[in-house]
Amino acid sequence: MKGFGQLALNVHLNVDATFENFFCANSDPHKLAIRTIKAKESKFLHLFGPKGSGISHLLQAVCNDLSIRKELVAYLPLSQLFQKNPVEVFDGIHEFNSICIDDIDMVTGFEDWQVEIFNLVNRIKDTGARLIIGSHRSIDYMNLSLEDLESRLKSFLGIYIPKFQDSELIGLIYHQASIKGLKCSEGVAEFIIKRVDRSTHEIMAILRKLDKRSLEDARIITIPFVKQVLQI
Amino acid sequence: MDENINDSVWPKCQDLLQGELPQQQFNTWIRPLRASLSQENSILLSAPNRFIEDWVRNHFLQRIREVVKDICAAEINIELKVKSQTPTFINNSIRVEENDSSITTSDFQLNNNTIDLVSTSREELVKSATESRLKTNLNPNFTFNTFVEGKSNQLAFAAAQQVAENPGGSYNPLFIYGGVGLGKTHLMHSVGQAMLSKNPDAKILYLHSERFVADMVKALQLKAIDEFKNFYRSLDALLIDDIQFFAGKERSQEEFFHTYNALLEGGQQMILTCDRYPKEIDGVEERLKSRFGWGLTVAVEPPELETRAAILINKAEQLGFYLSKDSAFFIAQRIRSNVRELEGALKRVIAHAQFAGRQIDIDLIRESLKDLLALQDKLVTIDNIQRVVADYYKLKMSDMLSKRRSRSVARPRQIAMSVAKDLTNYSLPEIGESFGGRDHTTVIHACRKVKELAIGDREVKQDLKHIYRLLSA
Repeated sequence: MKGFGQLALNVHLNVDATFENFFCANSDPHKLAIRTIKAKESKFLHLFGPKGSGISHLLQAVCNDLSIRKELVAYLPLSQLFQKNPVEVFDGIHEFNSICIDDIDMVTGFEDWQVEIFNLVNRIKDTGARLIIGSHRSIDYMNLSLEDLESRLKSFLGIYIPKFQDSELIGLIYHQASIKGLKCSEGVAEFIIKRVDRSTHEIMAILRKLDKRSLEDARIITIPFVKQVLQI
Repeated sequence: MDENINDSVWPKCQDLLQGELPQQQFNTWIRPLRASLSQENSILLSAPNRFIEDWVRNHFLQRIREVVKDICAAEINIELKVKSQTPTFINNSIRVEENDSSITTSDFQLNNNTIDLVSTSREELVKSATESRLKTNLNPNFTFNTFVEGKSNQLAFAAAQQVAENPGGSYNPLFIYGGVGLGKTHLMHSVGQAMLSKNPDAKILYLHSERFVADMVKALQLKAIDEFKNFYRSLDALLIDDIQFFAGKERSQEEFFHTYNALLEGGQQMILTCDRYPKEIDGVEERLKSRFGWGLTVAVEPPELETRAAILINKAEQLGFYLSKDSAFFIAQRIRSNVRELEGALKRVIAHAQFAGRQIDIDLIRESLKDLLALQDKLVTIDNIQRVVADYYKLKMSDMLSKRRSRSVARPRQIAMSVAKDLTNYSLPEIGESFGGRDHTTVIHACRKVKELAIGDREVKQDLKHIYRLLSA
């Protein structure tokens, strides 16, 4: 039981992750993913793509959205749960309406986790529950030792979500800035992406930092301001 | 206190808490709780799992107690427990003797909907029992009509039909084995469905071996092992999937052994599936292995090209989409491993077609399966086949191309040639040329030889399976 107290504390569902603030640019894969998730046509769905492609955001958006609709949902990021006993992590989970398992590629090399996910898939087949999994690798590259699980995961509807292009990251910065009510002068986004790691995580962290400092200093976001805050 | 707790105290308490907590917190932690009256002045709240139970206990239980106390104007004890999983044998048909509270074969059954899911004792379970039908767990979509027959599965298909015609006859047990995703479960359900359509009162139960084990563990915890035995032995047909998962579970094997014997002696039908031939299952008792082979053992092989294409067309039709022969063959030529992978590929193609508002054609398939096809192209080259086979048999790449004829080199070389013929579109002379300038007749001989060995030699068959797997992932 102690383990679960700790488990609960460790699992972090970002309540700010919603479909509305998810930036799609003109990316068909992102739009396809959102359409498929919202349509609820697929009982088993697999979103995969490189880090920073927005998979965790989408999975958490599913949970936030369904939770508001009073459904019982579980967000299980394996990267945060991996020290736990898989039997306990998945105990009773099949009775939820929707289950989102993030970082499922963590189970590579761990047969006990693979068996529990395999059991979960089998149990869910007989219920109305929906399972959405997210990973950075496709099933083919996961090298799962449990063939039974591998074949089941391959039957999921898989949607590949690519990393954002530079032009899309620029759009992301302006999009997020407008959501946060930040005023950015021209060229700020281009300046930022040329100087930081081109990942959505990094960019979102920078925007939070800029947001905080601009509020404190009552300044709009200009290139000199960005240089000062990021010390570049 | 009002006995109908679900209609009074708990809903009021929920209303108050909903006003106090953020919506998301309320929905995640409070809404899933179910209340029932456990004793006088005591409410039992059941959480769906330990995770929620623990969170509620640490964060909300005190507040719940205060709110309930205000509503009832009295001190009410609140207990919090995890809702226990109701085993199949309890959900379905524990029967109770009229004059005895102990559970044995008789008149009534526990109801799926009204059973008190927080109960932990046999007495409580029996109390909540009312009439219900057996839940077969059969998938209505898995019938003989929706099964696509081909060379790879025709024997298993015919055997399954025979069993459905004459359950409990000479094909008992029917043991279906083969790799993952080849249709074993579909065949098993088809037999169950056919038996049920002939006799709607037949007591047929499908379950995964893991569920059988979980039920048995629960029966031991509830001290209801006799009920467990009675239930399973009262079935007309028991269908257990993936029995390789019994490996290493000695107590479950012991119980299954007795159930197995009882059913067979009673002429009730058993159908089992497994990923391998009975004798090859590791971690399962010899006496069980030998009994698995008492009836009819049939293999399901990976479907050949035509069957794969037919499966795709059939599945697309079931989903309400038209898939042309050309499109089906295009996918089937590239995805060879199993039916589940075909299914996944088809779902992707359909999702893309719906999203783009386009008809399914080869161009759309190429776009939808871009990453899968790129991987296939990368893996399925003669050069890569030679490398994979050489690695598998711990040979040097140069051995594949050499003139050496010793068996340890010639056999892997023949296997590599045969795989190249099967997986690539290269002609026989081109394949021969890639193997150190050999003649096309050498390739023909290699293909014939490997085909023969794949039927008669279990080791070669196993090797081929692994090599194909390495080349598809």
